[in-house]
Amino acid sequence: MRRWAALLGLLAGPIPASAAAEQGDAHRHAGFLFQIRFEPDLNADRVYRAFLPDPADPASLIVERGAGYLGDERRVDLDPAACPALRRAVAALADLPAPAVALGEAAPYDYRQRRPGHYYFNGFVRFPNGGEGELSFQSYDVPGRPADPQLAWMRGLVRAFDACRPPAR
Amino acid sequence: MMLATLLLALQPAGAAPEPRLACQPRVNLTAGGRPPAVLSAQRLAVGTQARIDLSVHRCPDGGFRVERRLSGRDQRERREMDWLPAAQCPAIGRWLEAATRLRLPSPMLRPHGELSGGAGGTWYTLTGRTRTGAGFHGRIELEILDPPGAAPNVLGSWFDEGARLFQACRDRGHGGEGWARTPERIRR
Repeated sequence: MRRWAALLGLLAGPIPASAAAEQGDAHRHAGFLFQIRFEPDLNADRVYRAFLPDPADPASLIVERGAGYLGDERRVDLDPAACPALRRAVAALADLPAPAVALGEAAPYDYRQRRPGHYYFNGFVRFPNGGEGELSFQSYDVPGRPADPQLAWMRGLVRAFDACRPPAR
Repeated sequence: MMLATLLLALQPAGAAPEPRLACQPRVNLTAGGRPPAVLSAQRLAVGTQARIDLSVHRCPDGGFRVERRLSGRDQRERREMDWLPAAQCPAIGRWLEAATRLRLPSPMLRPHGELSGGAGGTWYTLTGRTRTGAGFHGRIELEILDPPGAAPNVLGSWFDEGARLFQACRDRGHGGEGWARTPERIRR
């Protein structure tokens, strides 16, 4: 509903200066590192974005939690000073292997069971030859089942953030 | 009754399907279309927009088939799609297996800059399945731009090897071109 209101507002006429500043807030942080989209349930996304505005200063790290759409008014920012566990969670990305390609069949998920939590990652990789680009992967958090390294890392970061600033219910 | 049985027994057996064609791609007329590729990879030269697309699909017998599409500027096809069953070309089967052992780098912990591809750069992409810890399919996607003159990265080397092996096996007459005339049967 808020998205529609924001869109209608855009169509209605020129945006006042204060409103324009809020629109620009969606991209207020420089130095995007990666994002994790976490869907604990259907239609319940939370997006965690990490930024390093000053690449030479690890303390400039900012992790933002939001709903992931333009005009989102429930964004929360945390930095390592406010949430030391977050720095460790982000730093662990340096040792995270990319998931391996699989060719074999896997068991289909039984959707009569409770829907698992979904995690999606988008970030960047660099090869030694100077090639650079984007890497995306996903994993599922199924209660009682083992976690792959990518799920363990994504879940750890989300939980570290939420422990410092619990999400609104 | 005996005569009928005798006549049936004397009828020539239907020609066995040629093994080469057993894994030929067939048009799928179900609402959902073809099953998604098990794996798909591309190389795109930025300057010429010459593109090679290799995608991996399952055969009815459980093996794999690699399909190749060549296109140029504005994605115009340069030739008809051709295909190669891994059962006929063990080298392409080994290349497929090598995909599962690709050592991809960890994600970066610094912001990436402007990509310096220019006209001489080369894109490599990979879309495939992973197996999550819970035992279900996950997904991985990579889009990498190699700068002009750079030696191919791990993904690029793997892809280029696949393209070379595919061509070598096609040159030996394996596989074929185009789609089968009969649509795929709907399996229940």
